[in-house]
Amino acid sequence: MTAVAGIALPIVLIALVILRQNIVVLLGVATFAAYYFWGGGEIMNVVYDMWDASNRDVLLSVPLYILAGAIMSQGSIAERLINLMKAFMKPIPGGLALASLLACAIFAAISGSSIVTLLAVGSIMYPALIKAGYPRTFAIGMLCAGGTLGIIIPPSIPLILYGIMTQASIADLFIAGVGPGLTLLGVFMLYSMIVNFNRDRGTWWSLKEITTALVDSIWALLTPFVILGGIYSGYFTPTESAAVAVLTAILVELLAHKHGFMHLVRGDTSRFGLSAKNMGQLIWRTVGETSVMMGGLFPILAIALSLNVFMTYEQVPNQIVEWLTGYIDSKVMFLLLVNLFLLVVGCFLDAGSAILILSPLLPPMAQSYGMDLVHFGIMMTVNLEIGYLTPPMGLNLIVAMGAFKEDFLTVCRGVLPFIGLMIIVLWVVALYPPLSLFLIK
Amino acid sequence: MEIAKTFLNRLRIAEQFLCFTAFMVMAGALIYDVLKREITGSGAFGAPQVGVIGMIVVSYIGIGLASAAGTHYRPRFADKVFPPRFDPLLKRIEEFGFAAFCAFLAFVATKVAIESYELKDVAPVLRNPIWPVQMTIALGFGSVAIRHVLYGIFLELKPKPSGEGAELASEQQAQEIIHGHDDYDREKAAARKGHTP
Repeated sequence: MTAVAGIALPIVLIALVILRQNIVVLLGVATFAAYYFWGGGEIMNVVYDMWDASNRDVLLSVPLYILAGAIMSQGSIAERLINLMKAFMKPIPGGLALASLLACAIFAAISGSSIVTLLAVGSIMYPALIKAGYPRTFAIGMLCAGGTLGIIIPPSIPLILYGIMTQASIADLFIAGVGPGLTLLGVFMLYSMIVNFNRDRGTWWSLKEITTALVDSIWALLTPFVILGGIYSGYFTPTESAAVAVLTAILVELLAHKHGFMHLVRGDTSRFGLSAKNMGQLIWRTVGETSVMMGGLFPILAIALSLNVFMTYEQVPNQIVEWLTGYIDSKVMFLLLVNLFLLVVGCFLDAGSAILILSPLLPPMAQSYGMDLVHFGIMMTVNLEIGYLTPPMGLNLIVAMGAFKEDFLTVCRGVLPFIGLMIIVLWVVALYPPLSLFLIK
Repeated sequence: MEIAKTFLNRLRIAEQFLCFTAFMVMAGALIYDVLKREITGSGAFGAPQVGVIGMIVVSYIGIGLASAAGTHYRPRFADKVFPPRFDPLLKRIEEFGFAAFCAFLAFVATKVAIESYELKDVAPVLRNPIWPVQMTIALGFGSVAIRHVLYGIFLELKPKPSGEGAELASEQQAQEIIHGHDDYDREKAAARKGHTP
């Protein structure tokens, strides 16, 4: 019976894909079948596992980081950061492009999402880049690539998911993401400077402009320092830092940026009331968006964790590792194959879903080849980050196409050089673990 | 169809209010915990557990909101296997298939909640009965099942599928961001002129 089920299950899953079923159904059918045929028929265990998966306080950081990013992207923090970066990058060749990339990196240190970063910076910078004479393909490609920094520079939702699935320390994963994130940023900036060497050379630095931009953005700049500094120093856990991020976002937008506090000092309660009303509307809207995102992500997470529990109990990863090591004896060959596999997966699945589905299987294999669990998580995330730029399911491509009103071909042509650069960085990350681990060890 | 449309709309509003309340409880409990720890040196008793309950409600009730927004992820690489004339049939199969799965999950989740009620299971720190929280799993998936049955019957009510939905949502988000900055610019300009916009 179980042998027949073993053959029938993949066929059923393929049939369900053809019959256009959601990923929740595919994962759910696989999990229920696993418990029914190989777990003694105890299908109620699926819901018990889902309950255990949901009942963890580490998961609280996910909605809170999404909310903090949403508040900041719809407030005025992004614009203030961009103005500051523009003031600093003005005399450098390709200054506006470099300012965009730096703004993406700083915004990535506040938000944990690629799309939020792309939209927050891109909606302001794309028209400015086109006006400054940058080719459309370059501008859109650069912004799409800059947006992907959102999931590698901490805080990062995919890294939290990886930590939950593999029991790796989320704080260590965040710290390990800094090196590869900055390397990617450096490579993007160098490339942007080279291809725009004769374009957009502004005037020399203006102390007044820099001072004004700095004063204007001082509260916005404080946010990533509080989040990352708190985690790095061990003062906050990732969950606490997510709560602090939401609190900081609300306070910065309400008190500092909308000048609500100054209205109160002056006794102008009506203007403070207006600021508070705007903030209330912003919170209502962003909580709604965050709930939709959680509703899409959570059933996949809960069911994937149930499958994870089953496979770990049945020692499935160990059996696969044993089988695999019989065929692949070199670590480099393993890295090559696993990265090629993840690049293909990234074309069809978003980073979060891919991590949830593959984390029970791939990390144990990586550990059997002597890889560090945290290092593998970073490599996996950098790899799946490329998936945001590859058709047909590259989320940044779809978002950029819709938001900036460009055709799919222009967007695809734009991201091509950046995909090449990211693959080079991916190999450096894969073959040189200290790039990820130097801050931990 | 109008009755179904009104029902779905009201269901969405109810879920949205429930999610917003639970989200506020979750965020409030955690922020209070951190602030209390900073001020008094010790965190608030049971705050993370209250936060987790809020998150569970947001996540499982949010499944219905994700359905209403059309953002549940579906692999699309095999969409061209059947010729386009089968599209209406496949759309109904997609909806009824998802509805059947969610109804089954809601049924099993209800059995689990009943078992917890009979065994008088309580949460470790707060000592509250866990069955009402477990019931949100059943409620969330049950609501999705009803929603997708109605989508299957009235295909016109179905929101844009996930890819297009995500694109539209993102486009809307982009417009909101651009719009938000317009407001900010207007406020700045008004502040320079010395009056409220």
